[in-house]
Amino acid sequence: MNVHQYVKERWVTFTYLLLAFLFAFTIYKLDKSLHLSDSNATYILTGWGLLTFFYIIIDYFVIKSRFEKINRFAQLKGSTEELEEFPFPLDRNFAEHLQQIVFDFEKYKGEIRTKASAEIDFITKWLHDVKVPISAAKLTLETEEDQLPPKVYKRLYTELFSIEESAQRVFYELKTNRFSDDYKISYISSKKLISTALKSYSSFFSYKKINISITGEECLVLTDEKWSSYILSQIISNAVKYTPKNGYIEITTKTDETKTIVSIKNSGVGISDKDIGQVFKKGYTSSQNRTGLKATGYGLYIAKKLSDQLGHELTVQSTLHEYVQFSLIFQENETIYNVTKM
Amino acid sequence: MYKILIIEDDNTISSIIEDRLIKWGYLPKKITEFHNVLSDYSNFQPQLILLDINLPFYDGFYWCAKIRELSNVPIIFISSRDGDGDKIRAISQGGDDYIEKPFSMDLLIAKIQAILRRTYAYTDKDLHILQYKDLLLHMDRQLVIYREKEMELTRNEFRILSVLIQNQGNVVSRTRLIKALWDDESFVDDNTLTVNVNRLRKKLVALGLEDYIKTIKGEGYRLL
Repeated sequence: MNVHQYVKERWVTFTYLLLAFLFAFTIYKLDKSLHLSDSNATYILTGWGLLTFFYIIIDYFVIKSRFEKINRFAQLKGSTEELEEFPFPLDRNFAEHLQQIVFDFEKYKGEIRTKASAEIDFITKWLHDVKVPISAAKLTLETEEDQLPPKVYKRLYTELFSIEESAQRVFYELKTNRFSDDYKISYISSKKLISTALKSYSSFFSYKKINISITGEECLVLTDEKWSSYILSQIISNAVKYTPKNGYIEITTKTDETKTIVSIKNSGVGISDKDIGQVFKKGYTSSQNRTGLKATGYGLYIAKKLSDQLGHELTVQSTLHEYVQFSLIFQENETIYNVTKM
Repeated sequence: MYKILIIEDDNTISSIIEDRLIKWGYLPKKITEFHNVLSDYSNFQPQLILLDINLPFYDGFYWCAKIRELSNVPIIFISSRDGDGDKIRAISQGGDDYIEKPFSMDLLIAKIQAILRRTYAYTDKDLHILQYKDLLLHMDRQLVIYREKEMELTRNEFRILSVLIQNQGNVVSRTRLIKALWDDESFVDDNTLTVNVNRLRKKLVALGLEDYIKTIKGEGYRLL
């Protein structure tokens, strides 16, 4: 508490003192019959002045200490200082209310936390549960493939795949919000990341007769295996959606001393300059016509969020009517720094 | 014939696995009573076990540990749980492999073949062979045999031929063949599949089998 704040706090008192003094002084000056010797007047004025001065000093320090006490109490969320230690009724009242608010707040926070973790448990369980009928449906479809018209098979397969992808996405979106709970950084082969990410998309490469090429050396990157393959799979999912029939997807790995870049390039209409800033935004989908897998506008958003959290870089380049290229950049040194910082 | 025990409580999944394993020439048995898996194990004495994690009464980890007290039989976990923790736990409790649901049968079969080959090929005298008419396919050594002549196949050629034989002359779609060829090592696109099938055809011609793999336009391939 500084002097300025103190004056603001006490201006009523000071105004009263000043008015009382002025009143006494005016009466004294107007009434000729009142007589005071000069020395007495000096005594009274000095005495009055000293008393006021001491009053202000003491009052200032008392107010200051009350102010600090309340502040400390609030900062410690009302936990250590006992309510009995507030001798002034006003402070005490204030402290009591504060304590009640803090108590309610903590209780509320605890409830939310319990609820959220119960929800996560429920959704995780649900995800495992829903995967069982999905697997059963996929296996049934696979076994009956030769009994079904190819068109029907392909449609059902694509729809089932979309269900599976969406279910998976729920899980990853939840996980990104509690990232620090669940990651394991180690050296992972870039080739392994790519193959894990590619695996489930074989049918779509076949349906659209997409040519695939995987080039570049295999190298070790410092990352979390599961999260990184998910990032790559979302990029591949996107590439498969937008590559036209007989188009190509090229996956290239490049490395130098400081970083490793995995690029996924696909032929197609590309993204215009005005839209390219939007691709990582939640809910953004291109208006271009699509076949097969549906765009949800969530895949790339989650991919970007995850790559930020891992301390990697995810970039996009495109030339309209030619290609789109996404690059996931693993920085050798920064990765560890960014992750431990969180 | 290799005996395979299926411990999976979803009946659709376990039935499909059972059917397919029979077609591939294995002897599968699915468990219907999950109270006492161990006695089924002891009675059946399988060479390989497929084990789900989420089971009634006790989970797959429990049964894995129990079975490991008795034997070193290979165990493949099949589960919808995809956390690293579960995978690590499955392997550290003695599992040999881990397949996540949803999975494709061709992938499961490939894993089963690989594990059986690793575990038994050099000790077991029984030959594991697929047959289509006079054509024999030696599963453990990746050989194709026709009238006393034999020919080694590459991994891709072997997989293509085994899927075709397993379908016994029915049409197999290109997509399905591509799916069967995709694994950790190789990613085959449409053109590469054509190349591989043509190479396989040449090898079959060298054995005296002209025109053995028919192209069905717009659909896929089938054996003559």
